[in-house]
Amino acid sequence: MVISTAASKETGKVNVLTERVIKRKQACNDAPREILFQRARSLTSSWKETEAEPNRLRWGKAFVRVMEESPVIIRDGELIVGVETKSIRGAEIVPECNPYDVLEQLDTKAHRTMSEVMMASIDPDEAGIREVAKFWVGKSVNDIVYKAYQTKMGDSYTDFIDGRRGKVAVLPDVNGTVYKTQTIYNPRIMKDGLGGMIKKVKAEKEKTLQKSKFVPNDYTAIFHKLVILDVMIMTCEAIIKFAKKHADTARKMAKNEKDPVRKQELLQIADMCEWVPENPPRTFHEALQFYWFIHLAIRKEAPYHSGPCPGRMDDWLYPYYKKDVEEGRLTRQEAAELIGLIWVKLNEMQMVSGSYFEKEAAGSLLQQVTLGGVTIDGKDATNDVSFLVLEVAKQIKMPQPGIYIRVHNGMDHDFLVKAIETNLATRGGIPAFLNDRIAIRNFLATGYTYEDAVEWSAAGCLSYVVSHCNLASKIAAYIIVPKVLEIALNNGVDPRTGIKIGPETGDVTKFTSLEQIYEAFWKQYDFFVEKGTKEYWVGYSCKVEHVGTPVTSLLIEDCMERGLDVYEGGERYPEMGVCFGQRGCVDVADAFAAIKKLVFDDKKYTMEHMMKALKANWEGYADVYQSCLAAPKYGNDDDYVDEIFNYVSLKANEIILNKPNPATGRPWRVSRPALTGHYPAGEVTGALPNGRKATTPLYDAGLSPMVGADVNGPTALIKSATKVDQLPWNMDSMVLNMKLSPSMIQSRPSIEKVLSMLKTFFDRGGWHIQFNITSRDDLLAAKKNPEEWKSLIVRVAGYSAYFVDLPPKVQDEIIARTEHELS
Amino acid sequence: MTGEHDNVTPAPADEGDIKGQVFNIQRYSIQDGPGIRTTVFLKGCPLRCAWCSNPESQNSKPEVAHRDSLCIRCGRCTDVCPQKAISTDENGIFIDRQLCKSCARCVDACPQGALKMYGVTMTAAEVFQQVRKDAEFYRGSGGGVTVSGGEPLFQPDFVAALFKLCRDNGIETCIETCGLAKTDALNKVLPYLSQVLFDIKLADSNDHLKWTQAPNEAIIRNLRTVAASGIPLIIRIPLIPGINDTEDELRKIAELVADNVKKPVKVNLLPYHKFGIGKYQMLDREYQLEELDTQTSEQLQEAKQLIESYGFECDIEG
Repeated sequence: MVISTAASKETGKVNVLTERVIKRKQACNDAPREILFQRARSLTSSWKETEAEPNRLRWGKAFVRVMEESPVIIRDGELIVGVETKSIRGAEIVPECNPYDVLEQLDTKAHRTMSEVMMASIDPDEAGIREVAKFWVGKSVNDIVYKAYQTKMGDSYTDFIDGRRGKVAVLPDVNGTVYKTQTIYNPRIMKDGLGGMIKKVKAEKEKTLQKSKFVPNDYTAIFHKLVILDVMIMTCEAIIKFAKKHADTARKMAKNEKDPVRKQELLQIADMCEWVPENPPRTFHEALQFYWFIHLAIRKEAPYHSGPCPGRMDDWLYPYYKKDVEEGRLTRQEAAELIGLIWVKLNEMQMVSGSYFEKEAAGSLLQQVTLGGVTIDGKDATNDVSFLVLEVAKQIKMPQPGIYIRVHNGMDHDFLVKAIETNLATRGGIPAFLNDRIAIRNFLATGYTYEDAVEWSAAGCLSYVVSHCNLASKIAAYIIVPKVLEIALNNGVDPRTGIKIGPETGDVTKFTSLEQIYEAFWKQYDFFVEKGTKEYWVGYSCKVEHVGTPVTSLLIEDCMERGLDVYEGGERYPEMGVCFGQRGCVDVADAFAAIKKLVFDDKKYTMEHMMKALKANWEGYADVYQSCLAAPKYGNDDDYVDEIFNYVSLKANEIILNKPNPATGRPWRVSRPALTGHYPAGEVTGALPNGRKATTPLYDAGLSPMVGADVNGPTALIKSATKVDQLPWNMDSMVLNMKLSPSMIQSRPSIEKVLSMLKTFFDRGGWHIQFNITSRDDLLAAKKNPEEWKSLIVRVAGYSAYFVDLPPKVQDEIIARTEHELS
Repeated sequence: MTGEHDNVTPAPADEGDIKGQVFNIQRYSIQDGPGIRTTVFLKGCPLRCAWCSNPESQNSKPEVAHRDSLCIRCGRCTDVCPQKAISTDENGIFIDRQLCKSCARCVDACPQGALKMYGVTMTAAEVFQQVRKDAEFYRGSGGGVTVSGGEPLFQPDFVAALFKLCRDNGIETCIETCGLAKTDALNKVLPYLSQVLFDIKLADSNDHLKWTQAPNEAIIRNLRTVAASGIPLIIRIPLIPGINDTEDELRKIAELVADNVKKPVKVNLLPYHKFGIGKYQMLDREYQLEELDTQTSEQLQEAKQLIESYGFECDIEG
């Protein structure tokens, strides 16, 4: 039974799936994925010509060249224009970051990194693509970082690099450290337009020159600042020029257009592209077009794994929407169609990713939209556009973008009801729910002003960021906590390779108390965290010079006054988002609980016997295995294990938080990334006393229980996850994934119960929760007949993708997750 | 009554020490009364409804159940059983219920978790400790605890003790009852109740006897007592295809309710399902209504409208 709600701020019904939107959606879904190198060729040709010039100027000029040579295409029926590549679903290689992936697949004739899920074809100009990629061999960020690691770390370098395949417990994350991380759309730029921005930058330039005339100064800094300002101007001009080319094209197309309706549309497009982004948008439609040009510019700056985030769309679109509706220029229906067209465009964006990242975030660009939250005076920021965006997601049913709701106590209840109804319609955890109060509190605790903090939005999977102040957070190093336990149980040796990689912390079979095992574990943990934190700055120093971010530096506000690129300290709160990633705290808590229960409390097995069982990967020890599985498990509101989890979780954070980032002296932020990285991390980890078998995946996300172990239902899981504040201050993602069957949210009374549960989760200090709404039978059917289930969206720990695009192992896990089913 | 007797337990000094037979405690129950609830399922029922979906609830004694899909045919259960009641073959496990004394040695011996004990003795205080775990969720949603079964009024002292603890701690209470109980059993529990879900299965006493093994006069008498108490009451009708979901039968039930409950009352219709079949197999019993199918949504809507035509507010649950 589906109950329709007459919401207070929702002013009417709309049909998002107009003929036009259906046409664009169909074209997107039908387009083959292609790997292209147009941007790479432009960038490389510019790079060759600018060898002796200042580094930032080289990046600026390269961006200008990329924009000049970018395709200008207006596709059939489009009302918002601008494409990333000539193909609808084209993915650009990024050889300046990593040329090796593409070279390797040219040799194997299949794009290895995308093959399993994407089956992309490669640009037919193989000689051209090879030449461009080869140019960057030895010069790419990848080369420079690895070289630096080698110089810095000598012999341990080999361990480190192999560490990516799992020889060690802590991995430098080359992606997070040196590649560009996510830029969030900063709507403040619409106030002046890029033309106004150019004027501002020119004034700043004048001021700087005036000042340096009379005051003794650091001429290197002045010179650098002038370079940065010049790059800002040329970046603005390049984007404006790119937009005006669309105006020309639209006019030409209008001339030849027979259909009078389309002709009029093209003329309107021409008018718009002539006006934005040079000038502030005058209408809702122009605001979307403005945003879209900036979105594309960020993609063209570096089309790496994470796309730009549209940010708080309801907040920045509403003033235009309200004005247009009031003045009779726009109907709600027209607005819905325009947003629908943007949704299709976001789904056209593709990526070529490294083999590691493919496993880390299979199939998603993490372009996140944020809705709701509070205004600066503490009022509910929800408006009619918030409802409209959910309605678009509900009807269009495409996996991108992710939607996150900043939930607070004064939030419009009808909006939350609609959010749950949207969950049911998308069956994929769109939207997810975040605790507004915690994000604001944590920003204030780390030195943000209230004015900045209140504008936060979601990014990545899942961090929270203020778009005009910072890039999204980035994970500099990962620690695989279960691997650390395995090494502690083996006195510093990694049993997988037999190599001693940690300190000697004692033979656990001789230990007589759990405290001794804890002590050995923490010694190992501290050792590996130390290794990770000390060596991060190697990657950091490389990043400063070797990543080009002219567009992002334009969007983040303090870059101009400081005369610094965003990666040189131009962020308002520099390097706030540098994270130390942890994986597997829950796994480790379950493992300690089993040791406590079976070895020390019940004395069912000796530690020696337990170690034998682990070494044999349980072969011949079925009884030990079953006992370990039956030991108390996190997720059931059982204090026996939940107290261990809280101890492990808080102490694991504290050790990281106490080690300053060598690049800034600030504390590291701690992150428990979600995505699909529990597969590669699990592949290198052996059997552990929580009943895990060697090489199987770790538990997903930060707060998920062992698959199928949470048998006491959703309230028990919520309680396990919130017995202490898991996000005390400087923390990043900490996701609770919960699966609900459709029957749990099919009627208004049951929706109210889910919302009541959600509120209790947030009242208890929970940070991020998302619901997967799918029946087990659906998923089994989808696995069997992917053709019939092409539109089934599933969210896996912080992102969503088409179910049929996921690797079989991920599908199996989703199927196996406990369904909190009612009888 | 079918040979079962009310539990006769001498009252312990502390009411929290009163023991009961529990076979499941389910959190986040959302169809057993208002809000988010914890449902406590008790063993023992005076009825033997042919359609019962909780066959493990009927007997007061603990029972061993076998989950054949998990069984690896290792034979450990056969070896440890002092009664020699267990045999295994390629189809799974068979337990001779005449021999089994529910000693649970087989459950402990099974390495796969393929044997399970339905029924555990708990004190009211122990159950309360489980129930209070979700107190925050009850407060937010207007929920509480529901005792179901089996038949809650089959263990009245235990339920009264549990409910007293709940009410003293601000937790709302509810029973899901088949209505068949001695008057004093009902009177013991009534003072601690915030809500009653009262099943009405068939209007005609002979039909009732045929399908549930008991006539319904005592049930109707208890219905009047509950209605007179002023405690919020919801009538629940499990719709059994061809047995009580015909227009004729539903009219009789509606008239019965109208005659005995003198105030506006809500009626919940529970569509037929066969989710209990697996449990019959696990207990080596036979389910008799296997060929029935659940009602279509059209049939359910018709039934709803019919009930509403008697002036009752009516919802379809589940």
